[in-house]
Amino acid sequence: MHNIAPHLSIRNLNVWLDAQHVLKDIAADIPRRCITAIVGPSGCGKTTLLRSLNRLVELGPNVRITGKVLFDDTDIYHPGMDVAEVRTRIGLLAQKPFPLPMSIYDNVAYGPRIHGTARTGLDQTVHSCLQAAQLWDEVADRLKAPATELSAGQQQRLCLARALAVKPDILLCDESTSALDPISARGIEDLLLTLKTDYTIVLVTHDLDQARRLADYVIFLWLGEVIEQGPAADLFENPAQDFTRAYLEREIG
Amino acid sequence: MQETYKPTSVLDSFVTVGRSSRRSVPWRWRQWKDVFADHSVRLITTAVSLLALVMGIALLIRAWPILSSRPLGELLFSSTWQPVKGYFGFWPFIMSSILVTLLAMLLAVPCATFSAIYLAEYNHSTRAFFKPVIDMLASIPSVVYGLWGVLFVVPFVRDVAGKWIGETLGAVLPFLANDNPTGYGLLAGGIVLAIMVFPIIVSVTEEVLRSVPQNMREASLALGATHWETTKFVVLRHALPGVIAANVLGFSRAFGETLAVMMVVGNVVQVPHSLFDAAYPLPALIANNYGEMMSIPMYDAALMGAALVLLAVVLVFNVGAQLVLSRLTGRQ
Repeated sequence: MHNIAPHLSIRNLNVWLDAQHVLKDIAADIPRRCITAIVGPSGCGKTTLLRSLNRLVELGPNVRITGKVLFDDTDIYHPGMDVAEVRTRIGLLAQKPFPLPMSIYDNVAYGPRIHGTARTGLDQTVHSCLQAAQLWDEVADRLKAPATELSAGQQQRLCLARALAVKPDILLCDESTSALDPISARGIEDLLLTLKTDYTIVLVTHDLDQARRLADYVIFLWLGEVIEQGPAADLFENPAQDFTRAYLEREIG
Repeated sequence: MQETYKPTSVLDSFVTVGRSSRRSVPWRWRQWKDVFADHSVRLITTAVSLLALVMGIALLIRAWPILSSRPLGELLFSSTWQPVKGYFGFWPFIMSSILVTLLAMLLAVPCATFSAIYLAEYNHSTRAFFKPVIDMLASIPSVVYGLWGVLFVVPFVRDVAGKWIGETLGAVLPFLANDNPTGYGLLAGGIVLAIMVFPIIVSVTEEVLRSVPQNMREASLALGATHWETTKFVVLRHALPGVIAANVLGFSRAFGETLAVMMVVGNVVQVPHSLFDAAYPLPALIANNYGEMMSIPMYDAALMGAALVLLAVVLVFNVGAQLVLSRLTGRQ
């Protein structure tokens, strides 16, 4: 499974936020059409790593980035790269749902509209994306209502539908279930499992049980360095590093 | 019965114990202070708010002689202002106020909005320089703006804008015709006023834009939207009620501004028909004439009536803006 060309290859990635060296010489591969979990203790740079995969990290003040992130052999940090295009192909599901200040329909239609999809296909796109996010049945009769009227769990599914509407290749999830109640969280997890047949998914989580449930491939990060990476079964059952074993058995972290 | 309460955690039992023990302690000095603070802040706020009402009533009483002796329609919409003969028509002043304010807002709002967008969304390193400068502009006394208007804006209107526009477009469009050789008029007033309200609108709008959560921007950017699309469709939309409030503040300020406008607007009693005509806004009328010619019958009441009209317009505009705002926030 992992011998095929990786969808994303991270090469010597270094990130400094202010003077702090947050990511140190990261080298990792993200396999295609799998769920890759980035695990590690709080503050180890998981989120920074995820956000550097679609160049959201550079929005912060005083950020310095060196190294490469190869997306199908194209460096997304190449100076000639169109950032908007990178973020269109590599979507993000944030930790907390942030519906855009518009209706449910317009939230999903936002991406296709700015990318110039024809008006005729829009209703169909919105419908299929809401269906894929398993939200359609709950909102079909109030598509024009403000998105903020939805519950947190529904909002997160709306954000997922919104992300799917721009037809990304890769979906980044930043602890996307941590702000939700257990039932909504499990709903999102199930959705991610069904979506991995069509999308490459990268998931940041501090919840090892969630990583065990979802991940095919795991990257273990510690203080900004990759300690170990590999297929989930190997890493969880038979970690190569004692350090990883200690973390998995919750002796450290 | 001893088992009625089972603490489920250490914290839970701590909270309960804390509450019950506190209840039994008699009131102490700090609780009296709390009650005192409670009442005093309410009292002060109420007193200050009542002041608006008191001012309105006082103006109404003083303006009553003229309000009761002439039909309201004639007062508001008559263009004849001949105090000696007893004709008091506010229409030229009302129109002057509205036109000079509209012109100022037309000039200031786009510039101010774009400047605020630049400061809040585009450049975080020069903000440290621009923000204090703009805040300082907001606190310059209006007489300074007025002087600057007399020294620079009026000559500019007279020698450059008036001449050029009056001779070219003015021949075709009546509202751009220039038969006022002085430079003192609607355009000069509008420009000075625009420059005055610009920093106020920028300052408030910028704060409002900055209060939009960063996550909201990232949500849009992560969908492949450009910086400008994000600003236009997400940041401005989310901040719209605040942006409107900023402009209402600017409007109220502009409508009531007296000194700077008075110095450059010409102060001729007429309904201005062209951008270059002289005008005579309500605040200028009151400030120029109160205390003079007070022996003319009804003159005092007429000026009070003008102040009342000024108050009413600002009030109506603010209430209207509130209604718009509440509809907007209700929709989001």
